[in-house]
Amino acid sequence: MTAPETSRRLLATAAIALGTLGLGACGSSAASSGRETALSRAVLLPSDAEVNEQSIRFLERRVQRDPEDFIAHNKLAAYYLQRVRESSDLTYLRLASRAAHASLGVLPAEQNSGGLAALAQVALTSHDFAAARDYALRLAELEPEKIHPYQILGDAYLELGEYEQARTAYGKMVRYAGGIPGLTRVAIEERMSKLAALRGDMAMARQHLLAALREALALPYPPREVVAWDRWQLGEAAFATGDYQAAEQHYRDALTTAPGYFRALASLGRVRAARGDLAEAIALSERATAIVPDPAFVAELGDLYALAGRGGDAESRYALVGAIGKLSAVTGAVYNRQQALFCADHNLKPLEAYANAAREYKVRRDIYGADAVAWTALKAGKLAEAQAAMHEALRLGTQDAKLFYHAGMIARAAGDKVAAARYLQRALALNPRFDARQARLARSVLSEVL
Amino acid sequence: MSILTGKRITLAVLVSVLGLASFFILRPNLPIQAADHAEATAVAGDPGADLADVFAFLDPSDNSRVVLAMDVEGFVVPSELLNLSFFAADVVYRFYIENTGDARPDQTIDITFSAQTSRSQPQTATIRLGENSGFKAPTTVQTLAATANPFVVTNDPGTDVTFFAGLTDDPFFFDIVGFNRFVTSVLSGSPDPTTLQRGRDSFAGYNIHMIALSVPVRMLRGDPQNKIIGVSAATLRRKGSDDSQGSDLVQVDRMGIPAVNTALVPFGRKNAYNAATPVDDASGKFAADIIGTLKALGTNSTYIGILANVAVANGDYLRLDLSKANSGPGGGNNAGAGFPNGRRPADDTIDTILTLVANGTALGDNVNSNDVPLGNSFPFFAPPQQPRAAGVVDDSTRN
Repeated sequence: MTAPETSRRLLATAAIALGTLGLGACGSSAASSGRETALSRAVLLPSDAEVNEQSIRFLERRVQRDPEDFIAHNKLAAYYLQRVRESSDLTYLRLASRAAHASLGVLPAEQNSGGLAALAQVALTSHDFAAARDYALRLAELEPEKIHPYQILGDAYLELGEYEQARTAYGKMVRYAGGIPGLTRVAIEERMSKLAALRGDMAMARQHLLAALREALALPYPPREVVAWDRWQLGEAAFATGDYQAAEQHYRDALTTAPGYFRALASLGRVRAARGDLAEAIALSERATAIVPDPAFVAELGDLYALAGRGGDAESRYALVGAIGKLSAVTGAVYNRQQALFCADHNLKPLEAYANAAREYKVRRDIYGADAVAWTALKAGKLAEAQAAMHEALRLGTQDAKLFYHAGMIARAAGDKVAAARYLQRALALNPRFDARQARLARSVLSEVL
Repeated sequence: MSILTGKRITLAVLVSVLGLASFFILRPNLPIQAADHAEATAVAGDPGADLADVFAFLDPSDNSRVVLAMDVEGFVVPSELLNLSFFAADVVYRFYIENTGDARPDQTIDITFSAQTSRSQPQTATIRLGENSGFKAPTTVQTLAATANPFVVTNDPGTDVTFFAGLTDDPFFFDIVGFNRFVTSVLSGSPDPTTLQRGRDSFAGYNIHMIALSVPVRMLRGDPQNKIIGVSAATLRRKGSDDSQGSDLVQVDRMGIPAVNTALVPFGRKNAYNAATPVDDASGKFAADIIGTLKALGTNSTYIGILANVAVANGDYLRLDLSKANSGPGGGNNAGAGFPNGRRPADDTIDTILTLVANGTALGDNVNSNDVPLGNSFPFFAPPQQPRAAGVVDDSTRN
């Protein structure tokens, strides 16, 4: 699969918005590669894993000695959440949740806004975006001139599809950050990039991302995970516009920065497939799924096996995708959307997939939620619902091959060959191999409707 | 005793007491604390500018010198030393000195830092003493070794001012949980002093960013006959967008007497208070807030008068009597010479404040001293707590 909605980890959608989009204009690629040379060459950055492990042990022992040490609980929650970010290991999400609740059990939020901040972040990472929004609103009441309440609030609104409110929240983040440099600036640039990508301004999205990377690299000791993430995101942006060479370089830079970085491994596999190297694509994808069995990675690997004629291996991967979502309530919530899209992509359990996507869209009305409803509705034979949802999905003007592909397939089902051809052409012009399997389907359908 | 019998305590009191509990999470300058949705980097707070404590005391071994200290951004775990051991380059750390008995500051001492460029190289501090004099000095570099690097102390021969900046053990000692539980119990109408018996030092085992100066008394006292100086600290930061680098400094935080901002200013007024000046205090801007809080706690008019006199009448300064001899280890511990006369590292400020609030009835949190011995020479604070050697379990988390 391509970057987009199906894309990785826990918190996909917004990040993906950027990933799927990338640069629209043809001329911008030369300009941006010029800009990139201004960045220093990717180098291996040291890992803080050992030091962090030591800090976690220190804090865990504190809460063992004094279970009411709410400060240690708060700090622990933050460390666990970072572990989730680095590893996608949801075990740490449960530990973070436990720490946040333990902290607030000692002192309530009014006396313990750090505990509330931890809880809000846990809710966000658990994909309970409505709760994250509510906690963040409460946090903003308690700390009206701090930066982090608005960051969490904006992130929650973005996931909920409340884009204007997200913009307003991020605006406050910028306002209260003032000229604070460093990671604060990185965090802001990354969010400005997302907003730009969602509205289809790919050049601006990319500029913000480069600014974030530059700021991170300018720190006395650039944080490995942040730098790798920014490089990987630049790769996603390049891939989304079909610039596979640049994308591959960004992914390799991310891997130079942080060897074994699973997001970059999976994406590099995808771009190698797009460039026709199926064997390496499979090897990379196998490595990524071995590190993190993200259903999107696993489905992607299944597709690659299928393309390589390894039908049995493909089927076993597809079966695994279904099993992952059933592992626990947490993984179910986190991977819900990926599951629905996987089913729609592979024409599996269409009614169930549609019901899941529609249920989620009731509370989470972002454009990728609308897209999931549209795509699953089409497969479930609900054309009117698909058309209405697709209209919602395209409402921001987002430049994403997968959105256009879905729109094209829905138009074809509705008998509108002109619109179908237009959307499919846009998808394939933007990112000709946006997905190992679906791009082929797009191409063959396009030849039918033309 | 009012704090025990008070029936009606505003929520604001409770909230404000723990204002200081609010900023420990998701430190912005540390990616490890920045887990985030959608994997974008997360931040929090106002890195490097949250004041924790201010100290002002006569050097116990040479009472002709005043030690001024402020600390910021605490709760640094020993193994976080390398990541966090730096001072923000865009913040001005300022001491205000008042020496004419009113609220208006008469002198300022500004400390700024060069950007940190490496974990193994010090930052350079620039100390400005008024308009025309100043000097530069290095910070103390941290190590993850089992033994801390010795404090780098710089004496400027031109001014005879001595300077230190770096991580130290957090000298504050206080059971936040017990204190909050106690106030909560008062709020609920059934005061429960047993909540103060936990005796757990919330700050034990952690480090903090410390800035300390030793200054000849004559430089600060103003009129040679003047005996009392006021000391407060503030952090200021350039606010504004990228294209307005020259924008004005905005005060982020300030602190004088411990617990005035933290415990007595209602939560909803904290931002206003942090942005205000001692002149605003003296004009009565926050008098109603502070008195309202004290009344709610059941403090009687006599003790409200005592506290209002120090915190409001002439602004929120630590007032230090330069003629009161200070002696003893750890920055001094002789009776009657400490807080609320200035503030020494060893002074049990929370017990003092609690007792004043409780109309003179002894009341305390059962945490009576720092978890590690303080220093006996400048800067008088203990070395930073170090991580244990690899493979050695740190079973002494000291809380």
